[in-house]
Amino acid sequence: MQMGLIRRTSRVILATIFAVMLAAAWIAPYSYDRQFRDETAAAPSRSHLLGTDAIGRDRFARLLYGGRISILLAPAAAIVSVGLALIVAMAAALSGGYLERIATVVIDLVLALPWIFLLLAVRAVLPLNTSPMASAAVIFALLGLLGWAAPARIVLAAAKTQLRSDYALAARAAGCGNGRLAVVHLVPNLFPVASAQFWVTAPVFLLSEANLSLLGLGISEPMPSWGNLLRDLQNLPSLRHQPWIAAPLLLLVLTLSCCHAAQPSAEDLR
Amino acid sequence: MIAPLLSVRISVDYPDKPRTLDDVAFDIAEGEIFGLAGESGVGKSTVALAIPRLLEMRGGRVRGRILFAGRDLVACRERELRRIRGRELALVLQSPLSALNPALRIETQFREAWRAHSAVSWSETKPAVRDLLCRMGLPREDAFLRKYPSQLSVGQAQRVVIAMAVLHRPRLIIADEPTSALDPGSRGEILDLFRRLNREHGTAILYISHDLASMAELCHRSALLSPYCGRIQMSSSTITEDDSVLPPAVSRTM
Repeated sequence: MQMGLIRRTSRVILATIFAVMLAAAWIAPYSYDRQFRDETAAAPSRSHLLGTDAIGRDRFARLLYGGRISILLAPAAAIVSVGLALIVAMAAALSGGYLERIATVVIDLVLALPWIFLLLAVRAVLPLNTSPMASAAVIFALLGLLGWAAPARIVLAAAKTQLRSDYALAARAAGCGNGRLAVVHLVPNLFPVASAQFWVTAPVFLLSEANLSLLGLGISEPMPSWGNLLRDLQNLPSLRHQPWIAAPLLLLVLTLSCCHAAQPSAEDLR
Repeated sequence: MIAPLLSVRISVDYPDKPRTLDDVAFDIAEGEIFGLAGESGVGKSTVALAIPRLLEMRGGRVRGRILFAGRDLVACRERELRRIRGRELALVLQSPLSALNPALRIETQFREAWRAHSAVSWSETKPAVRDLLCRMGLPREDAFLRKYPSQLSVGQAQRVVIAMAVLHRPRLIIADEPTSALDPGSRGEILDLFRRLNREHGTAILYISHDLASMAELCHRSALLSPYCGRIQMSSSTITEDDSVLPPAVSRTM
């Protein structure tokens, strides 16, 4: 039961991170945008647990606040994605024939979309003075709306298998229509696949936000996010003198690995 | 002469196997138990799925006509078929555990089968369903209704499937090898159940099986589906009365 232990531990870690980030406003000693102008780029001390950044903001406070947005919006976007995937996949599987082929082609097209350019384009259209919250919402909404294709392909395969099963046949034989068949009979059986897809998609979105923010396209200053906190790491030599600035990176890696390790195993799903 | 309840004249094609059934023809009268025998792979299940027009779900295509209670099911639109399925024409599949949705409680499955054809609320219907379970030799407690299919024995599951099939008092039940997954004890009980349904409600039954002994015991009339031309070879009053069910090798030469 080694795997069970790892899974449980990573779930506890995730829950802890989640709780701490949600309570950032109460735990963090300062606000994320408060500047200590006489203590810029300070080393960790009792008043600044992780030191301060170049313009004197408390790194620990920014780390806590930075996680809040990612850890709330990434799962939300993943739910949107997997929900869309379920709808598209069930509709395609139930209609079958050429409609299913059209859906498959659309899935392939969306998968082939260079989404980073799309996000660049959308970000370019938004006014420069977009509020940080709005930019965060736009980023994750786009991720959610674009990210459905990969889970849809997997859920579609699962839905087709389920539709070939005897119970689907029996439900039809009882006079069940397409809608009830999908909602009542298919969804509970597709739930394990969908939830596995959720656990795969959520960390991908976390990472996508980090990538975009690293490019300066993500959540705008002064609002911190794990992505824009990582920008400090671009200056590698400073990492040698100030190893504590790697804290956001470590937390991100920890969160991502816990997401993957926390997935329900095949035995759980049975 | 009274028109039969079901009159089948069909051929079936699968994309990779055209003419799986070629001009199969038989009639079932109102209130009759009709047995359809044949060795495995001959297309008995195809017949069972073709009549309620569910073969399309398995990729097959039906040609010909299926007259059921005055309508041609081959010409029917999906909408009308949906009203007939489960209400006038029920299907009992071979493997009861896979015919029940593994993710749903027994009660949910009954409720869905009920809602498909009735506007009467489930809470009003539940007592009647409990009585039905009782008559089927199943426990009537809530604890039983809350179970999942994996918690039932095969015999119990087949009773549940049959109870769901008779929920709307259909005129015809198509039972595709309903006893082949069961042990001999519950096999006899399921056959009794069919006999009682037939006697008490006048439900006609198309009993498909390769078990000739059970067929002789249960059916009023039987026929053999021969593998070589997909044709119903013969129809006799009962199998035991005249020894006309021959091994396939013999029927081929006929």
